[in-house]
Amino acid sequence: MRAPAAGGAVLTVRDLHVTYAGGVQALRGIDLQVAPGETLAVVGESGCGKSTLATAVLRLLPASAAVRGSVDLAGIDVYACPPGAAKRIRGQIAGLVVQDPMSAFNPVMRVGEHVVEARRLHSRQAAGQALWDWTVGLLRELRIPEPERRARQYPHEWSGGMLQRAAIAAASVNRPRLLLADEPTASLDASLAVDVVLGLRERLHTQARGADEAPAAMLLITHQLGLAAQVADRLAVMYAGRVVEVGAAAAVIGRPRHPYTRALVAAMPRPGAGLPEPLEGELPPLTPAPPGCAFSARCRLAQAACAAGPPPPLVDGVACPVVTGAAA
Amino acid sequence: MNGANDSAEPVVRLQDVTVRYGKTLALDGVTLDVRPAERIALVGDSGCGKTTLLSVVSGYRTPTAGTVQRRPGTRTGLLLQDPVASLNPGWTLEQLVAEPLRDRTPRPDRAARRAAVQRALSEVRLGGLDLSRLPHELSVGQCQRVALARALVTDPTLLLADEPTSALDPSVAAGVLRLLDAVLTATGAALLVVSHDVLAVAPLVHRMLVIHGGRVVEDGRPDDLLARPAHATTRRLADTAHRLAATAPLAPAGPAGPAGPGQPVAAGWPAGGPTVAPSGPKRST
Repeated sequence: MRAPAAGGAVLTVRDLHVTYAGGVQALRGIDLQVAPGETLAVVGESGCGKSTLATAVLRLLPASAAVRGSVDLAGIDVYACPPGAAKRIRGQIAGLVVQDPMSAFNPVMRVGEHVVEARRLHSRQAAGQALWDWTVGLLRELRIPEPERRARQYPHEWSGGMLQRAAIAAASVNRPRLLLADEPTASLDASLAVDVVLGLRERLHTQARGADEAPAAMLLITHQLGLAAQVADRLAVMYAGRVVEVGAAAAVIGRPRHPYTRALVAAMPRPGAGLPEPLEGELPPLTPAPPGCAFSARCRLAQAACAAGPPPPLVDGVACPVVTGAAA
Repeated sequence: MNGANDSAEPVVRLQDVTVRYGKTLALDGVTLDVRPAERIALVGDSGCGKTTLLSVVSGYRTPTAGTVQRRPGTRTGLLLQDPVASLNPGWTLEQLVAEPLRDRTPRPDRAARRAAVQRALSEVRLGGLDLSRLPHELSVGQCQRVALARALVTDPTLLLADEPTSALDPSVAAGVLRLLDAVLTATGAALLVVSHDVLAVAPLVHRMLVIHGGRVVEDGRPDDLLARPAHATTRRLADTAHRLAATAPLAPAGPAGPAGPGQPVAAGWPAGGPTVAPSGPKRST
């Protein structure tokens, strides 16, 4: 497999469209790049397409889904390479942590065996005491109490939070260049969530294979804006299958520009601030997606022209001509 | 609508409640009164015993030791974490919301059931929805409102909620929290809510109990606990709450609506806590 060009992005997504068999236009022209060592958080409400994006990056979409555009992962064109190469990408080039840890584990395999197997599948390291000890050490790093005893237990004997940490361990054992984490902290306490994702990021940064190797990157899919703000370098805000705002995490949260981002930030709870402001209305149906800006039906800044024509493109990191002053 | 009444007989009284799962001590001598209209959050790390405490109050679990007394006539409603998983996918909206009425004696007739269903759906602002709809035809936010309607259909005096917003997007969660606040204010029901999201539930409740190792280690007003945490668990929860909120500047008071580029967002939030005036037991020392 080719290494990425020096200074090049680990992940480049170009004009990616995904339409499911039922006609749902889940992704409608996504352009994203993730640099080595960078954590990009993709945020947005349920149904905005963020999990489809993670699935599409790994070529794990159902065969019936229509895909247009390209995904370049560490120099490999994910949709142009043979299926066997795409399989090797998963686990070696990219690791995946899914939302529900219970469904990610084989109930009749010990938890430690999952981590050992993830390591063996791609590294060809023989199973043995050394690999087992290494697994126990990894679980200890992830703050699993009594890791020697716990590693021998079955998934049902672990809490969801502990299992998610084991899933993170299994996904990162082969030092992937990109870790895709799809709502990895949904089952964790808030304090643990921040620590786990920060710890994960630090692991990705420190486990580079040599001085000439760039640190790994992370694509974090989450609906927890506060978590994203804590751990991400950049944020991409998705709505109805499109990126509507992208920029440095602190800037997007501190000075949101797109009306949808503003509504998300207003819905974040803060100490002493009372009940947060909900975002009224629902995502529009995407079968097919409405013309113009899909958020216009819920937007207080919407003008008549917003609901017509092609969806507004990203200009200076925000896809809203009203905010950028491009609307005449 | 009055706040919790200290002098009123508790809706539920727990005395020295202990629960063991085999060798594991899940609850260790918990004593708690929940007064009428009082809203209490149970917070703490995973495995601390907060959900076990909720299941004891609901009657689902019998304590290993200690007593649970419910005021005669107390009716409980239960709201669970995952709104989609908690609804039978093959049942219509009417069947889903009417189900908790099956245990009422005398059992209401069909017309009374339908009236109760429509009242409960109106309370959660789903009054206009077709009663023959199935869960997959609803959004996640609507599913959580249906789950709340199920909890309200028996006209509960005590609402029990287990992580009611943790599976929801913040924008949807904010709507559910506001709806809970409005419903509790309108019905006067007491609330016992389990959450690991201290920030989300703090503005909803009068009182927060921090659970650690099966014990109540701190008990007080949410704002006090967040500002002056005493126990290590509370300090960590408060620290996380402040960290998660720190990147977003506090919204200045002002008109609601998006600000211009480069300006902090003006959310126009009301200050303070729940609509019902806080009362009930004060912070333990």
